[in-house]
Amino acid sequence: MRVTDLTKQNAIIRNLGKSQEQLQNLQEGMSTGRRINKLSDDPIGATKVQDTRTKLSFMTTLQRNIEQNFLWMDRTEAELLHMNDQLQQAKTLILAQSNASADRNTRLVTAEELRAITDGLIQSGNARIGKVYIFGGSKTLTPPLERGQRIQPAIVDMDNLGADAQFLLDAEQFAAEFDGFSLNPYVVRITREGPMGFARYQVSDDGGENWSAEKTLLPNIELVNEDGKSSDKVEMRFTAPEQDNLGEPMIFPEGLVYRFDANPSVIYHGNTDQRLVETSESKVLPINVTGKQIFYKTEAIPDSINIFETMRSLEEALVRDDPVVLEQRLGELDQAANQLLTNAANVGSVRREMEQQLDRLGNRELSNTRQLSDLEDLDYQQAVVDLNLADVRHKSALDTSGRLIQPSLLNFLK
Amino acid sequence: MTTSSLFSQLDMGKRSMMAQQAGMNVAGHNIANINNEDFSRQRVELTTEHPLKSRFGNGVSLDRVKRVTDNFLTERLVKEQTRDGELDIREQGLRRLEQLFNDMEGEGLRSVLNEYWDAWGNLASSPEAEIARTDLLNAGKAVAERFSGLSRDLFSLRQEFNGRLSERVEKVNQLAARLADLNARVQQVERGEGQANDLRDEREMILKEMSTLVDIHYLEDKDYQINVSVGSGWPLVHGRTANRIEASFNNQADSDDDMAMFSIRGVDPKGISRDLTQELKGGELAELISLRDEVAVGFQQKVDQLANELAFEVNKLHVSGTGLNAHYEVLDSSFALKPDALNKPLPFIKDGTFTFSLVGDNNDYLETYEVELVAGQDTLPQIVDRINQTVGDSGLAQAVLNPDGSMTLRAGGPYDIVLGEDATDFGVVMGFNNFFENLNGARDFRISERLVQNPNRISTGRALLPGDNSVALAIHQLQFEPTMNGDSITFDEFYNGISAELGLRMDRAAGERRNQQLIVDQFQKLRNEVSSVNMDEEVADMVQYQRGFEAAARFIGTVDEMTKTVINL
Repeated sequence: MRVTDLTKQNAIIRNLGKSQEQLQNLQEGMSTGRRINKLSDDPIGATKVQDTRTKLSFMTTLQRNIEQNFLWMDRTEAELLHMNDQLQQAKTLILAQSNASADRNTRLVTAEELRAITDGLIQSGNARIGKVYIFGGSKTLTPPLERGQRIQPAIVDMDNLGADAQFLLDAEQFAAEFDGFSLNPYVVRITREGPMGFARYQVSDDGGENWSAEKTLLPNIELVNEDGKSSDKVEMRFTAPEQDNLGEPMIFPEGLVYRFDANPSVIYHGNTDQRLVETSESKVLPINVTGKQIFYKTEAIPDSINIFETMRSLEEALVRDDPVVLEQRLGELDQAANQLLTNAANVGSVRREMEQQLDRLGNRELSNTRQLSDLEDLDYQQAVVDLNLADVRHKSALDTSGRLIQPSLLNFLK
Repeated sequence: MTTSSLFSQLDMGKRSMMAQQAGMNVAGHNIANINNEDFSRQRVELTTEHPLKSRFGNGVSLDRVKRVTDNFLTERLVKEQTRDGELDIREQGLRRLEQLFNDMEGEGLRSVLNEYWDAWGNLASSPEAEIARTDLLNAGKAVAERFSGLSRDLFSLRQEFNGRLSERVEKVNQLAARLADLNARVQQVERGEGQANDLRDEREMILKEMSTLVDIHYLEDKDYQINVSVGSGWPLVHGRTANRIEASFNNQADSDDDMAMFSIRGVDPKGISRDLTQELKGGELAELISLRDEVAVGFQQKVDQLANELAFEVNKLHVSGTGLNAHYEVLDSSFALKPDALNKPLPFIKDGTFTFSLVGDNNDYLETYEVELVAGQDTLPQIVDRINQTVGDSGLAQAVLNPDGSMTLRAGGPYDIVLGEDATDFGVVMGFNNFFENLNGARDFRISERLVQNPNRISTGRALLPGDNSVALAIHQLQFEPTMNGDSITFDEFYNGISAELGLRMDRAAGERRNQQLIVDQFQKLRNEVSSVNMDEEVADMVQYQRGFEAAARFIGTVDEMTKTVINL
């Protein structure tokens, strides 16, 4: 085949260019330390690198959030234990007052102390981290617990009166008040029409199923149903107006009903929402305990009690100097302690599970980082070997090129 | 016996010397052009002169100077140049595209999306925190900026490809003009029984250059003219006339973008033009057009698709959520309908119920209203009326259709409005509580102004419960939900698809270019084998002709002596 000078030149230029390009690529890799510097170096590898980086940053986020929420759980446990301490204190005081050595005065003093303990419980229940209340469910910016008001307006119910009466009479004039804390649905109904002192009434403490004996309506009556629930030897008073707007004695029609809305001594303003924290792509764990779970009765748990009602009942019994109720309620204090400790234990177990999850995330992070390095990083030993090879190749290409283009016939003619 | 006379022998000697000189001349010409890529070497073709009526020869005659070339190789080379030009441009263009999607340094769209999702995760972990909201806003802004930046960059790239078209079009015209001129001169020379060897070389060079730019078909006719056509046979050069191609703006384009792009038209001397844009099938021009109108547009559409889906899915979750004390006395829709769309059914909504509530102080829910919507039927004015009917009392809440086609929900008295569960996507479509807003894919992707002004409006949960993180959790986990391509792949997988496609195309283009270069080199080598100059050959020839010249001169000298002898008889 005929070899021309042009062919030789082109071949040299082309081949030298190739070996230089190879050196260039190796140089780029070695200076960035990465095997993949642009998409076309390894398109599939590049996308895997990006995916791995995504996973790593996701895991970092989860880990950081879990660690931050340990604070929440630790605080929850601490407060619960503190509440338990306070309850134990209350128990000690009550025990001291339920034996014969106590008298009216000591019981009054203890009542004050009990009240202070209740305040302490409320304060614990309103614990917060920064501006966030931890026992309010998802209503975290308002204090979950608040002392209730003793006096509450009664709900006037005229349904049982005749249609004319409903039309003519105005419910507002019959406005009355209940005074006291209780969860029982008291109902007062007028059984004989008349003014105060003549009209008669019956009271029910279970919403209208069982009624007491008839009694005479007086301006200020104590609501006690001897035949009804024995739990609440409670201080409920009912006050009805004596006179109507015109100054005349109020006539209470027969069938008029007054209802009492449950009036807890401590109101829970929060809700029962769980505070969920992500622990993996598809898993969340609840880290909170609500005030409701801690202090109030939960239907699903038969042993649960309303701690505040117990405390109130004890306080009122001390004021009333009633040792019987003291003894009845003492057992409830143990139930209360149980309730607190169970909740604390639950939080503890969630915390342990989160720690395990944190470990798992740490392991995943490690293996992903390794994978990233495998994909991305340049193998330096290999690169150095390649570089040396490429260098040798380049130098020998230069050498032979030199030999190819130099001599020509002219060198040998005279 | 007839002998050739001495004078005729002198003549023979003279012709011999001239022939050797010619050979020298040609060798010299070849050597001078040894580095000229487009040169085809020439050889002197000597034949024996026709003998006169004697039995003795009559010396040598110069038949012609032959140009050593293989037309088949030239044709192949021209064709392969076209593909080479194409692939060169393709590789360059894809490399520019690759830079836009390169996330290896951690600054591309994928990275900002990661940070965005992480910011939602952090917000879900502490929904009451204000810092987490500011962080999320910043991360969202970064996403918006990257999307709009990418869209802008893609458009600039299209403009760059467009610009390169016009300079190449000018080049083609220049080459065509030169070719026409050369055609005239070749015709002149060869009609007169000459050989226009060097002119032909120049014509070939022009053809090669032209073929890189545009796919040509050429033919030499019997009048020694090379006629060139492009596309489906539009004549670029016909004999001595060269037509022009033009890059002109396309006034009938569909979109504003496309109106800024050139189309290629062929103009003949009478001024009749023909649109060649779709007809060009090879060469740099065609490749630039393809990169500009198919490849870049294709990637732009994918980016737009990603932007639209991302905005829609995030918004869907965000619309029915609430932030920190985030209720509205007046809620304006971000989007407005054009006048002719007002009386058509509102698009993109689904059958179902759209709810909103009135809240008072302390975030108490006073009243919740449910409005039923029917897709494909309800128009916006009808919906506004239905809302007002459902509320029933404009003192409580009122919906108003504004003159510009947008809608406002207004709460009366001391109340405020909060949006609730929305199975119809009405809130998303009108833009009542969106996170992202965009009308034009990625180009105008932005965060809702409402949120920028008050980060507390970012929805984290429901029903104004500050500790509820259900919305934030759901959005965080959107990262791993298959929401694209008919709910089959995630956002990340879709983006991977884009990068992988780009990377693979790039890879393939680079590989094809390398192959094509090998092919071109091969043909070039074959052509060189035939047509280019070998120094040693020419030097050997030169020695040969020099000796021949010396011998001829010697012969003349000897005949001269003989003549002198005769004269001095």
